[in-house]
Amino acid sequence: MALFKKAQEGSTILTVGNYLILLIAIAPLLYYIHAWSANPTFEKNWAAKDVALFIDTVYAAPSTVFAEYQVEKDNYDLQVELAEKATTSEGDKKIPRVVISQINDQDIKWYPFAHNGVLPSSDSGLKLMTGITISKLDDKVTLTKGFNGNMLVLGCEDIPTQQESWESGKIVLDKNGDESSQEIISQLLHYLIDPSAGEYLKNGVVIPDRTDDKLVFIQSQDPAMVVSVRSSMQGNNIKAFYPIQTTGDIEKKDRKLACLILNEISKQRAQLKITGTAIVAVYPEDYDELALPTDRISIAIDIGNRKDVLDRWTMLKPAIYQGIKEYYTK
Amino acid sequence: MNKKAMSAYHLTMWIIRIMLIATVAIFLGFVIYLLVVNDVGIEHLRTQLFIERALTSSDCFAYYDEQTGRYYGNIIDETRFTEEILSGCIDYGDNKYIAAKLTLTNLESQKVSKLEYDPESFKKWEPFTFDERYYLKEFRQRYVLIATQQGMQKGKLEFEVITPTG
Repeated sequence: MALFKKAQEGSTILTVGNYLILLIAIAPLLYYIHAWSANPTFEKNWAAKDVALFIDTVYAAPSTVFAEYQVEKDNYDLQVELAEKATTSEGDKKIPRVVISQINDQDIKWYPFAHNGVLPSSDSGLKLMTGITISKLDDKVTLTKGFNGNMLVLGCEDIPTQQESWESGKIVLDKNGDESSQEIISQLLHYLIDPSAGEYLKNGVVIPDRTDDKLVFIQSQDPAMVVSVRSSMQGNNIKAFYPIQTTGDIEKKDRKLACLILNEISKQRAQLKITGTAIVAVYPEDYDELALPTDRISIAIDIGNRKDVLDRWTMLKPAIYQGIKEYYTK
Repeated sequence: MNKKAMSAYHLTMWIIRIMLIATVAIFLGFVIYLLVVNDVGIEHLRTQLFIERALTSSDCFAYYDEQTGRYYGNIIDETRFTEEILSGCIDYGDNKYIAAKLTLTNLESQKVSKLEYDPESFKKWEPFTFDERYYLKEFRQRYVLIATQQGMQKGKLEFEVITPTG
């Protein structure tokens, strides 16, 4: 009995000893993991790398980019700085980099990104928590404070098109697309030239329904520009077509006009439920129903076929008018 | 079993236990380290971005179509495939974060063009690429179209990229 009791005691000591050893080994490990994950350095390091890689990606894009960067679970008051001249352990160097810091905290983490010879511009005091808008237009990347603008804004051609007496110039309007929406588009075009409906195109002409050859009609009118509106079978993007193979600066002017009108339309994106805008170059012979002459400014706005847009067609009128007006005044 | 044998047995068992627990702890530590490295180790991503940027950026090799006013990624403009363009379009400033060798082979004319990005660092880092804890060397290959004076031709672009780890 005494022997059994002794063995039992021995076994208890053994078990307690095992747990103790386990505790001694696991506790520092858990402490280490906790300290690592709770340390702002880890998060800062991660954020610095992530933002820098994001900027790298924006630079890699072949055209205009408009993106929003947000950190959802951000416990720290992080800031982003872009320094041209950075002090490193090896002295002063020119390093394009994202610096993540905490206010009154010396523990700064940074990570480099590569620019394209044109350093990005940045608002001061950017905070990841409230979001950063990173955009690329031509070669230039810009970082601005939290996003509260229009994601669908397109970068427009910067060419002079101002004309004081633009309202006296003739503008030919054309309708196109599937049968079901013809009436709506016809109403929209007539609304655009209706003097009783606010601002209107004073010298606008709508191509009559039974016109055999629209291009001949356009030539006979000799307008300053042709704006065609059509609906298509596909979706929730608003597109603008312009003809390639034009001469001189006409293509650029077409793109500017298309861009300004699309930007105006996209201001109504919430009500019209638009998810994207695009400017598309087309060969006129592939789209002969659009009547896009190549010897003058001509574009076709494709409003899709969605009920959200067609039911709210009156909202398109001020957008198209404003786009044309801006083309001549800005 | 006598007392001496018992204590020898216990001692041996304790040593085994301690060793076992130490092994498990080290293994766990290693797993955690791997997870962290996978989460924040971005060397592969940096290499990938370098390649994508060379191929798609309007500042790098991407072909520009004047008629449509658009840049076309993965179509290389032969006239832009120069070291000057490459070092200008991916500029890390004074610090060195990536070094690469690019080989463009025109599969139709068999013409081979070679470029280097930061050749000094490449020479310096390459001997140490056997240890991925310090430098990571990766080979990637892409089939591309090359815009030449004779028109679009098939080509192959090979990348040999070294990036410091961490």
